[in-house]
Amino acid sequence: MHFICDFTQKAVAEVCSTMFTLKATPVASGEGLENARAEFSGIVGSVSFAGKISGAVYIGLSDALACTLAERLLGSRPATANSPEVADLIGEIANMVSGDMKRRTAEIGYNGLLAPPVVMHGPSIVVEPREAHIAAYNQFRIPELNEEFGVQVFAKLQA
Amino acid sequence: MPTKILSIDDSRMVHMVITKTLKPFDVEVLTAVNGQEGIEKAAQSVPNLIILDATMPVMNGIECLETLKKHEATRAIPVIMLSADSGKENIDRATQLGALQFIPKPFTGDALLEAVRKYVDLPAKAA
Repeated sequence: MHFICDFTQKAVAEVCSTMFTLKATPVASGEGLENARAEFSGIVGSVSFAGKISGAVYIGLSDALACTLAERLLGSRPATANSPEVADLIGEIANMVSGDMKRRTAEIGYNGLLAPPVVMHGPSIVVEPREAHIAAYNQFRIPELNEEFGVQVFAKLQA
Repeated sequence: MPTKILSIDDSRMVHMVITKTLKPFDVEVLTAVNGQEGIEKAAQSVPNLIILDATMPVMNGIECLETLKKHEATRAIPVIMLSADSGKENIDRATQLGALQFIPKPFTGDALLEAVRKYVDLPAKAA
């Protein structure tokens, strides 16, 4: 397994466990640029990074899962996933996952800077790599909520 | 007068989690969404503690911390960094500039309370 895939799995598990006391288990993963296009439906949080490692992390969740996580953290369920609180939550999740991954990549010599998160909402959000060397997709399952979500990472390593 | 804590973070979710965590105590939580706004609010209200994010638009947390520590009115306010960007470089820089502690995100309410208690009193709300 490429370290990007491994770090993604560790970062997602850490964020879900610490912030939501939920276990997120990887149920499928894929590496390689051949099938790197990912399509999400619902809400997507993204953080770009630059430096010795550059690229972006995309986390895509269904509207229902996004609202459930907001309720779990804040105590009340948002009326709709298309609300500022939910967008903020998904952005912050993307930020925390990227931050955890950044710390791990820095430890093996690939330091980078993180950009503030960007959040998108819609029925079909497609992400594709431009100059990436690495593409890693992970699908996670949260058994307690009977929900799944995906994380796509594109990265380029500087020599 | 309640203890005043200023949360400087571009995430409203983080403000809400901090407010929820501190709800049982006689604490007023003030918020700012970037470093620039944080400096202005810190100078106006002189809080007992600042909880500061690192990665923010307009002005990031490191620049904000540097400015807070330069100004007479805000220099003495204790600052805790709370950030997803918990790389060694970032922690070292924040510590060098005067941050007392660095809490990495993701964080638990217990970790936040433990850190806050080191620097301010958290009296329970009167019944």
